[in-house]
This record gives sequence, C-alpha cells and structure tokens, in this order.
Amino acid sequence: MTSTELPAIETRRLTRVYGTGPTALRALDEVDLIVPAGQFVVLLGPSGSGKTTLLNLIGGIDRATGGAVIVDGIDVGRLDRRALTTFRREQVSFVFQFFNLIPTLTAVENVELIAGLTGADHADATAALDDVGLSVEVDRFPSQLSGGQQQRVAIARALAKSTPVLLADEPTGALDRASGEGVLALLRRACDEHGRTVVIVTHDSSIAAMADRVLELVDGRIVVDRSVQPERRPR
Amino acid sequence: MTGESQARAILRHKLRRDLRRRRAQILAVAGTVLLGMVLFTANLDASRNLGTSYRETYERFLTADVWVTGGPTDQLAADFAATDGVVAVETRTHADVPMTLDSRELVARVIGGPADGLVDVNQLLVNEGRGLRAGDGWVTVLEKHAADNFDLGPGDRVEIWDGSAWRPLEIVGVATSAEYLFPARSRTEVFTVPDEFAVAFVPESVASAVAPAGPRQVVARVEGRDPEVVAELLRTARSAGVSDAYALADQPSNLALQADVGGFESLSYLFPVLFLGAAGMATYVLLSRMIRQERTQIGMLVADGVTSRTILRHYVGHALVVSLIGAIPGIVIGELLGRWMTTLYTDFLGIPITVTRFSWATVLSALGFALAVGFVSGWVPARTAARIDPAEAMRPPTPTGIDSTSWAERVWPLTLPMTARIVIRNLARSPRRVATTAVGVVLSMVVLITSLALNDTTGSVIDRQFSEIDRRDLSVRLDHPVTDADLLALESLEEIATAEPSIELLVVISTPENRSEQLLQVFRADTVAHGFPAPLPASGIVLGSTARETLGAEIGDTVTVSVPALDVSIPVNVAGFVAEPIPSVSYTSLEAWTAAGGVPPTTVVLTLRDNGEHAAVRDLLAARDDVIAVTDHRAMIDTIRELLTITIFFVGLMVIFAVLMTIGLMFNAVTVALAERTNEMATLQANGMPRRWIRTTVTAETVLVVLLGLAPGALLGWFVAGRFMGQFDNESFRFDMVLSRSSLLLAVVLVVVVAVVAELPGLRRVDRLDLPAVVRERSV
Repeated sequence: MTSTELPAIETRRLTRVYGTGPTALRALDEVDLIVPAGQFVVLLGPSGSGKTTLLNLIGGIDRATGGAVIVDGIDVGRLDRRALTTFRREQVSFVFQFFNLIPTLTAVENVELIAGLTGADHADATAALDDVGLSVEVDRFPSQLSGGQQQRVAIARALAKSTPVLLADEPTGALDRASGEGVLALLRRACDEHGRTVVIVTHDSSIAAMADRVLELVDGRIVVDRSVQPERRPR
Repeated sequence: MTGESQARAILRHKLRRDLRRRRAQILAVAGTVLLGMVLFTANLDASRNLGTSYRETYERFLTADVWVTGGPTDQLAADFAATDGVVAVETRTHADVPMTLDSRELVARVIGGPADGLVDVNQLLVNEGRGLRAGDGWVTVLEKHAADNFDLGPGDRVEIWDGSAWRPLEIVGVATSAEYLFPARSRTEVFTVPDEFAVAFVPESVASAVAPAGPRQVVARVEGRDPEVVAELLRTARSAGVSDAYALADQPSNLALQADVGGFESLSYLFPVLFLGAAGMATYVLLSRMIRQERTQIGMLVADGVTSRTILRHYVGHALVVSLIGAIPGIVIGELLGRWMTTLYTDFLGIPITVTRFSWATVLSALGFALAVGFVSGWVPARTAARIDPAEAMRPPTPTGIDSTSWAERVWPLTLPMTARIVIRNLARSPRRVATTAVGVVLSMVVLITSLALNDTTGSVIDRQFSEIDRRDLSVRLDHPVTDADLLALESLEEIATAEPSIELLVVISTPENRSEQLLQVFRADTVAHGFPAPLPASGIVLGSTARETLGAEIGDTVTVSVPALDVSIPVNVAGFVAEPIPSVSYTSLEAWTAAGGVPPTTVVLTLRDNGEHAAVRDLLAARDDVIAVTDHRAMIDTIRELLTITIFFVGLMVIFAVLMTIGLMFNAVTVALAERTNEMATLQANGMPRRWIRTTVTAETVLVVLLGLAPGALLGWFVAGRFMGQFDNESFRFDMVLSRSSLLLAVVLVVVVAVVAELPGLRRVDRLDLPAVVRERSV
C-alpha cells in the first residue's frame, strides 16, 4: 500500500480511561474507525460521549489508555515528545471552540505565527484571512474583533497551516447562526478544494447535513456511522 | 444564619481551598513576608537588647559621666564633689608607661586605683583572681583584652618601667572595664594592635611611682546622667585650663562602639522595610491575578446579591492570611535569631552583660507591620473585585490583551521578528505586573548593592588609609632623641627601606570659639612614610577633617596648638588640609616643629622592603637596649580586618536574604505571568510550537523586566548605600561610600541569574500542561 492509499485517520480499539479504580471514567471504549483522506466527518453526540476525547487523541494532545491512533500512517501513541511536536506541526491543524487566539498578536500575526510552522509566510497568512472574509481586519487585535471574526481568524490560522488533517472542536458553539454557517462553509471548502480531511465535533445535528460522513458517539462508543449523499448537502 | 453570613462562611471554605490550590505561589509570597519578619524581629530585638546590654553594663559598673585630664585635679575634684547632682568623684593617675608583658615591650595604659580599694566610679568586673585592695603593693589587675592576648592570669608577672628601671608587677586579677570594652587608647587612636596596647589597673601608689608627672585624671558620676550637670562640670573643667575633658558620649571606647551600635540600629529598619515592601508587592501581584481569574465567579456572586463589602472582605482577608502565614513563623524565627544575634554582637563587642529580653512591643509591631503590608497590598485588587460589574464579568470571554502595537515597535524602523513582538507586547499587556516585578528587582538591587557597598567601602577605606596614606610599617620609640647615627644604623638593616624621625602626640587645636582634639603627627617634609597630596610645608599645620570642620578655619588662619602632655601651647598658621579616612589626625613638618621649639623626636618610623618580614624585624628591634617600644602598623591592619569579619558576615547574610527575596518575587511574577497565558501556551503546543520557543519567549520577558529594574535599582541602591554608610561616620573614621565595578556586576548577575532560575518551576509546569483540559478553558 502506497502512502496515498493510506487512510487519513485510523483508530484501532482506541480507549481512553480517566482516573483509576471505581471512579474511573471510560471516555472512549475500543473505538475502531477509518477515515479516508479528504473526507468531511462530523462527530455527534451528547455531552460526555467522548467526542472531544477522540478529537484530542487524533490531534496528539492527549494519550490513549489503550489501542492506537494512526494518522497518515503515523502511530501517534508511539511518538516521543519531540516527534509528537513535529507531528502536531506537520499533520494536524486545530480550530478550538473558544478561538484561543494570542491576545497580543494581530489577526494576521496570529495566523502567521502558527502557519509559519509549516512554511507559510505573511502573504499566505493575509491570503488566508482574505479567504475567510477578514481582509480589512488583518491588523486588528483579538480584543478589537467580534466573536465571529475571532473564530474566522482561528479558522484562517488552521487553513493557512497546510496540514492534511484539520480538527475542529465545536467551532460554531460560541457563534450566532449566521456566523456559524459561514464558518462551516469555510471548513467544507478546505475539504473540497484542498483535499484536507476535516473532523468536526459538535452536538448540533444540523451541521451533520454538511458532512460526507456522520459518526455518533454514546458512552465512548460509535453507535451510528452513516454517509451523507452529496446531493443532500445544503448549498 | 443570614444569607450574607452564609455567603461569608462559604467564602471562608473557598479561601481555604484557594490557599491549598495556589500553595506554591502562596508560599513564595509568604516566604518573602517571612524573610521580612525574620529580619524585622531579629534586628529590632537584637538592636534593642544590644542597647540595653550596653547601657546596663555602664550602669552596673558605675561608669563615669565626665573625664577630665590635667589641670588642677584636686581642686576640680573638690569643685565637682560640691556640685549638685554629682554622686561620686575620684582622682587617679592615668598615664601611658612602658611595660613588658610576656617578653613583649609595649606602651601600656596605667590607671591608679583608690588607696582603700573601694571604687565608686568606673568599677571593674573581675573575671579571674581578685580586684585591688587596700595595702596592695606592686600588683596589677590586668584588663581582659591584654590578659587574653598575652595569655596571662593571676599569679603571672609583668614588668613596668618606673623611669629608670624595670620593676616586677604581679597580676592578682583579670577584669573587664566598661572604659575599655573597645580597647581604644584615645579618641584619635581608636584602633590598637593587641600586642602593643594593654591596660593595667594598679594601686595609685604604684601609678604615681611610675608616672610621677601624671597626667592625673578626675572622673565623676552624675545622678541620672543629667546632661545639664555634665555640661556644667565640663565647663568648669575647661575654664580651669585642663588638657582634656569629655563626657561619656565622647569617651573613646564608647565613641567607637556607639558607631557600631548606631549603624546596627539603622540596619534594623532599613532592610526589613525593603523586604516587607517586596512582600507587599508580591501579595498585590498574586491577588490581582487571582481576581482576574475569578472574574466570572465574582460576577456571579454579585449578581446573586452578595454585597461588595463581603467580596472586599474576602479578598482582603486572603491577603491578610497570606501575610500571617509568613509573619507568624517569621516572628518566632526572628525572636530566636534576635537572641542569637544579641549574644553574637555582645560577644564580638566584648560587652560583658548580655540582656535578651522578650519584647511584646517587638512582636506586636512586627505583627502589625505584617498585617499592614497584607492589608495595603490586598486592598487595591480587592476593591477592584468588589466593583466588578456582574453583567460584564459573565459575558463570553474577551481577550485581555492590548489594542495597539507597542511604542517600541512604532519607534523601531524595521519590522521586529515575531518572537520579539510577542515578548514586547506581553510586557505591554500587563504594565502593572511588569512594574511591580521591576520594583521587586529594584528592591533586590538595593539590598545587594547596600550590602556589597558596605563590604567595598570598609575594604577601600582600609586600603586607602593603610596602603596609600599611612605607609609606616613599624615605629620604634627610643630612650633618647633620634640622631642621624640611629637612622643610619636602622637603614643599614637589610629589611629596612627607610627610617625617618617622627613625633606623634595628642594635641588640642583651638580657635577662640572652638577646639578639636587631634593626633598630631610630625614628619619630614619629604617623608615617604605618609602619602600626602603635596609635600608638607616648612611652616604651619595641615589640619585633618574634624579639626577643619570643628574650627571652621581657613588657610592662613592662626590656631593654637596645645600639647597637654608637655603643658605647652603655641600659635600656628593653618597651612593646608587633608581629607583622610581617619579624620582626627593633623600634620606638621619636622622643620616647622623644630622652628616652633618643639621637643626633639624620639620615635623613628620605618618602611620595609617588599621582602621585609615585619614580625621578624619588630622582634629584632624590640630586643635592642635603647628601644622602649615598637609599634607594628601592619599588624594593626590585620586587627582592623579582623574587626570587620562581622561586617563580612552581615554582608553574606544580606546577600543570601536578597537572593531569597529575588527568588520569591521572580517565582511569583513568572508563575503569574505564565498562569495568565496558560491557554496561549497550550494552543501553541497543540499546534506544534516547540517548547524551546515557549521557554525562550518567557525567559526573554523575564530578562527584559529584570533589565528594566536594574538601572533604577542600581541608582537607588547607590543612594541608599551612601546614606547608610553615612550612619557609620564618626570622629574616628570616615566612610565615603565605594562600590566596585565587580560588586555592581555581581549584583546584576545575581539578580538576572536568580530571576531566570526562579522561572524554572513555572516553565516546568508549562511543559506538563494538560493540553486537552486547557484548550477548552474559556478564560484567556
């Protein structure tokens, strides 16, 4: 199998247990999953179902208790600290629910700082902001932007960092409906136009309609795994 | 329980848990308070106890209030006795006489005791053997310093020069004298070499036999040490034309020790205030951060009806508790350390009575001080918390950052690298935190520079006085006037480089309005034994600093020089001035001295060749028949250096404290800075930013803040050190503040290194961040 044929993300009996003894919490319970490259996946589920845990394990910011996560052929669990940093830099981009922008950097600097890790420059960062409709706000600080604008900066940051996998944790959770739809459209474009694998965690089932595939988690297990027909996606 | 008191009870639980959760930071702040309290309590207690021990010693031994030398002593004694308020008066012989102790010839101070052996003024504390009794013959009670130095005790014998022959003197006792707690020969000769000075208390019959010409002295004790009666006695004495009259305040030993006790008292306030200031700032930084972090909770409490008064009480209470955590053990340790320091100081100063009383005043003032620091530093952030608008506080998070680029970037013509931009803007983002940390650096620098300057100044003063100015290695007192043949004979010795005739004697220099007691040294105009800025003039006198200041004389003015020992007074022109560390020495040339009819010199001052072993030469010269005494000036430097060991000990202690304070402040500042940006750090790590980059930016920020505080810290330290050294100035020694470049560099390096080391625990915490948890936090 050549690298192009590898699934973008694969999990094998992936398990994450928090705590020990009788109070231990099994957040993920032997999850098996294969996500081909370029797929737009939505993870649905109630609070505490294990969605964010799965996302964090895929992104290499949490360690599994059992099983394996393989991203683009890399077994994330086997990476040492240094290799894990390289993995995060080159393989995944994050969009956090609460934006997590650096308050002392302007919009373009926030993008440039992270995107620069994969070789993007100032022009790329400006272009990414332009793509998300923030060409005027490039030199504004986070405190001078609205919540929707901040989230678009966070997405521009993830988009400009040219990694094969883009992970978004409740990217529309803090936004109004119109801003939320705009954000999702941007992520969909990243998938369609740049062939990036996108995994979005949400508990808003209406977002599922934009996905290629919907996974539903309950108590740390995938209970629904369905594909969405392209013609049924909203335009 | 009302709703408000219930809220308070719950807030008390919160307070306990907050203390547990932030224990590292709390301990850093409490540790700084503790250091301040330890210093405050220990210094205040030791200073108070030292003062009490000192005064108690003078009281217990019925120390005199007035000393009068020369003049009509019997008449003066009668006049004094008739003065209201005078409790006791005694007359005695008080002369410097050659003695041999343990085969070593020296000029000893011989003091006569009353014939009946009953002393009403200046009693002795007999350490070994017995005191003088009625009917005693050729016996002595040796003063403790000499007995210890020569390892002599009751039953041993010494010899005394009676003007024509050496006479044996049996030691019957060893005693401590309040007049010689510090073995100063006179106010102008405060430092003496143990091998060359001894005080022997002898029956008056022996004293008058070895020094029939005196001088004699009247000593008087005044009821309650009434200053008006003391002043009256001094006026009476001076109007009778005595050669010397002084009060207890000017008594040589007291004068020397008062400088130490006074300097110690200023220390007891200066450093603790600096440390407590630092503790206050650390508390302020900690609480400000906490309130910002708890903004939403506070908003919720206020929205639910908790009064702003309760919020204020909660956070002020937090600051007070942190202060008390440091203060209580600090006061206990300080009390114990204070006792130890009192004993250390009384031992070092030779004060025989050590009083270590527990003082509630010290404890309560320390506690009050700590609570005041907690209250003041907690009030401002607590008031901010109490005024929080609940609606504002509970809105979705607004990035707390800046809304414009820093002025440094606007001024700088080129675009700064991203890392530099982040570093600079992070500083601009929390100006108060930066300011308080920089002020902490300033305080650390003040403590370090003051301590190091104390060390440098004392070292420099000694080097200047005893290397550049006083170049005598040895002085030899002959039993006849110095001749050219003597000089040639001495210079013919291989180790001796130069031999010059010299005279040294106590004089009183006066104008019609003022008088100044000085040590007059007479040298050849072209002397090499003393470093003058210009050769000594052929006529006139060169005045030392105290004489210049006291007399207010100008060059060309006429002053009267009186020599009590020779009972002569001559008018002399002021030919110049010198500003030396020992300010009470004036000079004239041998030519001028001879022209004025002065007695021929009997002393030869020697400088040795580089390889000259002064101890060997000293012993060689002491063995000569025509030599009465040999003074080893090099040994005096060693004695003075030895006296400074306590200064070095103190400096070392202060440096350690300053380092601890810097660690506490920096740890707190960096921990808070990192805590404010945990979310950013985690985001950067989640995106693959190397930890090294994060460490570099944090370290760069720390170093920049430290650099901000270094220059003002150095300047303020310089100023404080100058004022501090001024406390030690007295008639015996002038301390012009010196701070060497290496000390300044050491202070800078220490502060920077300590600051960088103090941030390591905070950086380790960043390395161990729980990324999944942090990136989901709402706070930024």
